[in-house]
Amino acid sequence: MGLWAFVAVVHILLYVKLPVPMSSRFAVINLFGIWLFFGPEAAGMLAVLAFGLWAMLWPTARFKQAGRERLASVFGLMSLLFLVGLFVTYKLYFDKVLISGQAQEDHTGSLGFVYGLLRIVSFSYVFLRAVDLIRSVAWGAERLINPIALTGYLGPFHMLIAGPISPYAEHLEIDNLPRPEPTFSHLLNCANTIATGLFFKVVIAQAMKIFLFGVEGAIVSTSWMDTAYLLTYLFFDFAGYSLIALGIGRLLHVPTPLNFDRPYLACSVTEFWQRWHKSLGVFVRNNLFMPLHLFLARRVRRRSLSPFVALVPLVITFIFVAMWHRLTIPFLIWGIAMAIIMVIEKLVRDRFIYVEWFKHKRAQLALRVVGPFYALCVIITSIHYISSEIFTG
Amino acid sequence: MECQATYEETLTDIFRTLFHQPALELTDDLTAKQVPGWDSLNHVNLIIQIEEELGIKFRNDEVAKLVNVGELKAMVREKVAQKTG
Repeated sequence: MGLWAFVAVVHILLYVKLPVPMSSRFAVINLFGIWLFFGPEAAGMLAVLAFGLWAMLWPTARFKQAGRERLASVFGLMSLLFLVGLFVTYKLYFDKVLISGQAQEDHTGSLGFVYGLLRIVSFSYVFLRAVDLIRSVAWGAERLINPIALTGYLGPFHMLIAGPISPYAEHLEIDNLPRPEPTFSHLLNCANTIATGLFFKVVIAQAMKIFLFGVEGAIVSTSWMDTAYLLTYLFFDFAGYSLIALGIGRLLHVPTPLNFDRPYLACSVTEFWQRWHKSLGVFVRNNLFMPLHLFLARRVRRRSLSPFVALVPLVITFIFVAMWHRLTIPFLIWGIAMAIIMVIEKLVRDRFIYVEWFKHKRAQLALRVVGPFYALCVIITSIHYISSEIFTG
Repeated sequence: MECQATYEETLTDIFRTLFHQPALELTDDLTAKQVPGWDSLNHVNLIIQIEEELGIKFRNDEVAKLVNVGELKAMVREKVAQKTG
């Protein structure tokens, strides 16, 4: 109830005309919201992270303004390495300790501050937003906003639990686009998105969980069917959260991307990952896959080698996605397998296009029928392989 | 004007060859979804070919931002103009 009252107050407050950029205004209210719902420690750590990143990126932005691209790149790279270092430290040390069963409270002593900072870096997509911020400022054409405004980008209260990951460039639009006047149809549209999300999350996902595991039961997968069931549960849970975030974002006019686009209708594994957790897909495409692929393709000019040139960045991208979830060997193997499957699909698809099968209606129909079945079989089998790591109760 | 016709023709040739569609017309609102084979892997191949043919270079963030052929044409036009001075 408190959340909805807060959303309503923020909605009204953001309409008050003030000579302050919208990104800063949203950030101040957002910090208050983080303090209210996640506690003063979370708000404090978010502010520390935002100020730290701003301090590291300030020279980068200044060098870019002065046209000294090389120095800007060096400072950008240093910021990126520092951030990745924090993330890996958390994943290798604290996260591993937590997996082994030690309580979180063990780190509130002398390591409390370090633990708090590392936790906010690894917490729910803050890390990925920070990476996008560094890339956009150091190697893109985006400006650096003030440290207070940065807190609103790094940890927006409505996207903190389960993403989605909004690109930094899109967040900056909050200052550029005129704020539309509130209309009843817009309010209704937002309410519809939020209600659908709540239905997915609270009704369908919870009912599925209670049906299979009971009210207090741990989520575990022992068979292929369990994994299929759990993947559907995950979809409603995650897509539900994402729709709630989307509805609140639209209501407040804070850029919030769509995260799921009917993944179960995907005709291939490639398409499945383009529809499932879309914002993560956009993030890895812009920040990892595309720069790496361009770098390699500019050096290896032979067309016949292009599938192999694509394989390397694809493997690295999926290893990153896997490792971002958890730094373990099964996740590493899963990432490599996904990349190889996608390259095979690419070769088959190119052949399909080359012989112009896509022009035949029967071939299109067959693909629409067989495709989703094939994609789901592969996805469920692959998720089943790492299910003991995902569904740990 | 002549220069514009040349780079537009070059773009059309590249698209037709890369996506195996000899009759493809490059309208400004044409997007990747409407062209079979224009996926993120071929998007990079497309960019590399344009760079080679026209002697220009795209920044990574420019490549990721492109939404439709109209934006691509505008970007190419700007870069060709910068190159020719």
